[in-house]
Amino acid sequence: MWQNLKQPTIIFTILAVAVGFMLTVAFNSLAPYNTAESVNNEYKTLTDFIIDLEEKNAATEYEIVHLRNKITSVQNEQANEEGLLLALQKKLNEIALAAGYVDASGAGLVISLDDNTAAALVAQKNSPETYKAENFIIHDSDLLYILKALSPYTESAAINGQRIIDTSHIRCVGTVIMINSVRLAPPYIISVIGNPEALNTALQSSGTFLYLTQKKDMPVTVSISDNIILPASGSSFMLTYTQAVQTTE
Amino acid sequence: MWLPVLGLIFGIALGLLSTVAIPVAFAKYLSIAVLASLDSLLGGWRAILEDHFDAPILLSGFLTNAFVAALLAYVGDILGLDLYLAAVVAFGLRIFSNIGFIRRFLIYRFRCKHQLKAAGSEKITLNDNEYDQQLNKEAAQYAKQNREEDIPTYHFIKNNSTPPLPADEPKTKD
Repeated sequence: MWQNLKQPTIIFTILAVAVGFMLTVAFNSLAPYNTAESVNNEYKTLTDFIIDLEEKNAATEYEIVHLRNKITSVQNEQANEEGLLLALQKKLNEIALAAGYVDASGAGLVISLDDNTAAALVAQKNSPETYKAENFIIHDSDLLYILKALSPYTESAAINGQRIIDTSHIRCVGTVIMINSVRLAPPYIISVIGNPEALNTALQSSGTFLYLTQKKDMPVTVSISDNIILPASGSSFMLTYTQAVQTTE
Repeated sequence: MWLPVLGLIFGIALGLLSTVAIPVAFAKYLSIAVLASLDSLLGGWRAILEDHFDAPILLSGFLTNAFVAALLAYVGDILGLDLYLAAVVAFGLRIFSNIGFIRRFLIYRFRCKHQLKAAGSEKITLNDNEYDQQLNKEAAQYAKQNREEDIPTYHFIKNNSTPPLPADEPKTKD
């Protein structure tokens, strides 16, 4: 083999070494750049993943409500036939209504809260140095305080179609408010079923409401309604650790 | 022909083992230069097959092409023109044409040897390099007869499907 080696082969081999070396150096140098792009792609995938999960969540919640209604109708059918079950079923329906697991309707109060975009624009124009965007929007705390103020007279409540139950949570994520893990946008419509007069009095005397309407001049409307319809909660609630205390006699 | 392949693998291993990394801003120009040098490499292989290998021409072509391609890309960046595309297209086309030639040549040589073997010729004892020399000599003659002066071997191979070497020509080997 070696005695056949000629000048072309040797030079050709040296060139091949050089090309191989350059190829890998170019690859090495561009590797971080390629990784950065793949990280971007990963973010995109994560966003898609979140959107996908949110859709699945909504579908599952719909299914839960649907199945609960089915159970209720089956139970009602059976209860109609037997006397003892009838009383039990009636009690069960009341508890389900109180827990927020079925659609509810009744008289109450509808409060609409919106961001003060007009004032924000004026403030931004007149005094941009002191302008703070957060002074002109509705915060998660505003919703929480109003619900808290109304709670003594509230039987059922919902905000933008999200039923408020024991396990509901209201929090802000960046610029949006999440209720029951669903992103909501202003205006926020708080629908509360209860004694309308009592609710209205409680609202008008609450600090948050006065602050929003008189101090901040937010676009807030309050109306009393005879027939508010609240959707059933799609949340599932299971007792895993809690047990009833055994009473020994 | 195994030595260059080993060389390529050795070069790649060397690059992987070394931690040499140039800034990303220049990596683009290196990529263009790699393309140019790859073209030179294939051109060199073709020259070996065509038996007109010229070391200074290959080496100068290797360096000049790589440098000018990178320079063109750099100037393109300054002017806001995608001039690197010119290098990519030019070298891309040449790489394909060279690969096409090498492929045709290797297949042609294989066929010729096969036919010679079938005819029981003594030329079967020639090694590849010696055989290529014979083939190119015949091809040049053929090109001269047919007034094909530009890249004779390529035209010859393209236009002929039969081996140019007669099977009955005696060859003495010392």
